[in-house]
Amino acid sequence: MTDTKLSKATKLRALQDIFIKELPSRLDAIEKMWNEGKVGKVEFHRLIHSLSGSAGTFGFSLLGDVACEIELLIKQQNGSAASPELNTAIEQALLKLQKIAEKGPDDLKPVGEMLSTPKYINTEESALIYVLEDDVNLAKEIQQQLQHFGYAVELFHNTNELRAGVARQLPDALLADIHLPEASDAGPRAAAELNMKEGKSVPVIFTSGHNTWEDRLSAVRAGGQAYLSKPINFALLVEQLDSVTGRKQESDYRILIVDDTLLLAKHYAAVLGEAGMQTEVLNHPDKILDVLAVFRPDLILMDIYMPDCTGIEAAQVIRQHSAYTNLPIVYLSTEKALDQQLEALHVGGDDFLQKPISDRHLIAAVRIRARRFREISRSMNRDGLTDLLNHINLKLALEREVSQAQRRNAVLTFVMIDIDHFKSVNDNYGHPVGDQVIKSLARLLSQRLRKGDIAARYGGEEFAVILPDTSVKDAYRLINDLREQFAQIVYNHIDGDFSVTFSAGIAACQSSTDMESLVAEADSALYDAKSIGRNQVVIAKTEPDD
Amino acid sequence: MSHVLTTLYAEDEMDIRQVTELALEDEGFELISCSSGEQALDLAKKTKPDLILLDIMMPGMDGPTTLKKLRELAHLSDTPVIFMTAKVQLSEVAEYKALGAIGVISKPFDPMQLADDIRNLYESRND
Repeated sequence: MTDTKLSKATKLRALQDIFIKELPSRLDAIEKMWNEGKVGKVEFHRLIHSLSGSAGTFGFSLLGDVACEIELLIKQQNGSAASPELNTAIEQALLKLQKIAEKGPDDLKPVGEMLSTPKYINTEESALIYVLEDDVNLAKEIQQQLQHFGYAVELFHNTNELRAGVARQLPDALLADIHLPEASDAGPRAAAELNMKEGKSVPVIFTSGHNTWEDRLSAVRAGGQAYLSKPINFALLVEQLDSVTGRKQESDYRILIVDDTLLLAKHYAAVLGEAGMQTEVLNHPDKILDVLAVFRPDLILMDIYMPDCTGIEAAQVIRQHSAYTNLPIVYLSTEKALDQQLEALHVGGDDFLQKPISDRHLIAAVRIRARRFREISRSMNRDGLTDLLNHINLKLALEREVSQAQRRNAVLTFVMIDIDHFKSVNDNYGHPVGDQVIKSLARLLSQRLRKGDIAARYGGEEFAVILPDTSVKDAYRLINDLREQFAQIVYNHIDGDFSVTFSAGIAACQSSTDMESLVAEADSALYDAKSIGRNQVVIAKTEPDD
Repeated sequence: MSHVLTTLYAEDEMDIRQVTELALEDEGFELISCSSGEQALDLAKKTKPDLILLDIMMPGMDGPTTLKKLRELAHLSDTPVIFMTAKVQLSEVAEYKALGAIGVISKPFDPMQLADDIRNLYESRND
């Protein structure tokens, strides 16, 4: 941080203090208007709106979120006659507001370092990495490189600074140099101290200029999760950080429960929900295909005996669809006869659970199968190196997104990206290094895209990105940003550090565009980008849609 | 090196105005700030800013109305305008852009990032 930025942070802190001081009276005013029944009044709306816009800037992002919720409720209410449900909802949200305000700012970082919600990008919070490194230039380089990959980084040049930083906020991971001028084992000691005092475990990765047994041993003893020798291989470092900060965490398993006894179905849903799974309940199988398409469960828990249609028949219908051949179907039944059970399995079920079943047994049986299903479908649908969608699934996704965009009359852009002179990377530095380059671009894409956006490895060094609800102009900005960012990533090699660039072509989906011509347009824009000099983004020329 | 941008800025909330003033000072912006659309209109008659920054929801004259009135002044007919507002949806951004804004800064914003964000919108306005 430069001096002017530092002094700004102090001034901002002062403004934050004022905000905190005035917050109670603002909340009182809101409460008073609410009690006086002025919920429909513009002034009330304004008070809430102002909180929703400013709280986050002053470190109360939770408070801002709740205020935003209330604002939406008010808008809903103004649009129609006041309903008791809406009133209750607003009342509850107002209570929540009070409670959150009492807790103080949720963001204890200095105001200036708060993360805003980037305009495009996924809203996931960046993981915070503390770097303990006495070499100022190296520290800066680490910071820059990690920021390319979406990490928030704070630098500390000695253990005292680090202590102060830790007292302010715990990082998601610590990257520590083993040898600091203050003592030869200062790094490991600081790491051990951090984890001892906080009683929590902050993952630590050590770096060292000497690749010695002693260093590695002291890293292990201080609880280091990984050890990197200098010069630091940033691609490797990012992989390690991703894994220790749990950025690769899976989303919850989705379980579809089909049971005509609603009470029972709800009980299973509650048990599985408690165990961290998402559930959806159907009490009649006739809607099952629609639900499958939308909910995309990892497993179906199916009752055998239902009126109109048995679970076994429903399973057969599901299996007729090739997309669901591998979806696990587990029957729930009081069926004890082995023959009956075998028949059920024969026609498409995967397993049999007997009612009544203990909660623990249910959770374990469901979780194991859901996990295996995820693993299998992952290996089939995704590219092994990058974990992005593979070519075939990109096409399927694009087809779906194009037809959805056209139905909703929404904009959609499709982007093709190709790494420049990739062959010479492989030739000069070897394939493992080439793989690192590919992985880092994949990582950059997944990091910068929003939920809903889709990135795929199209083949070799070629990538594709689907951006729903994004205009060509916005897509250009995003991809051009990514291009600049990618070009700044430094790869380390014994023969010297190097950087790589990419070219990209962007095409917009018009109301009459089919998937194939969209791909062709993006591809030819990419070709143009290559032929006019590479390292640039070109937008496809399109005939205007009538 | 980019030149200093004279910026006309209207925001009714004092705390946000102060943060913005602080965030933009020494960052290549010369701020002329005021607390309402009406004031902005008055000030606009006496100066020719490079950029106009307007809060959307202000009592009295709101941001979009202010923009419309500003556009009626010959010397501001194509001055770039940026709106600021709470939690915007992509669809709203499109709506505001249709009104002639070059971009929208969503609140809450990160004060340390604000100058860059505004500068980026300004520089890429003709893309």
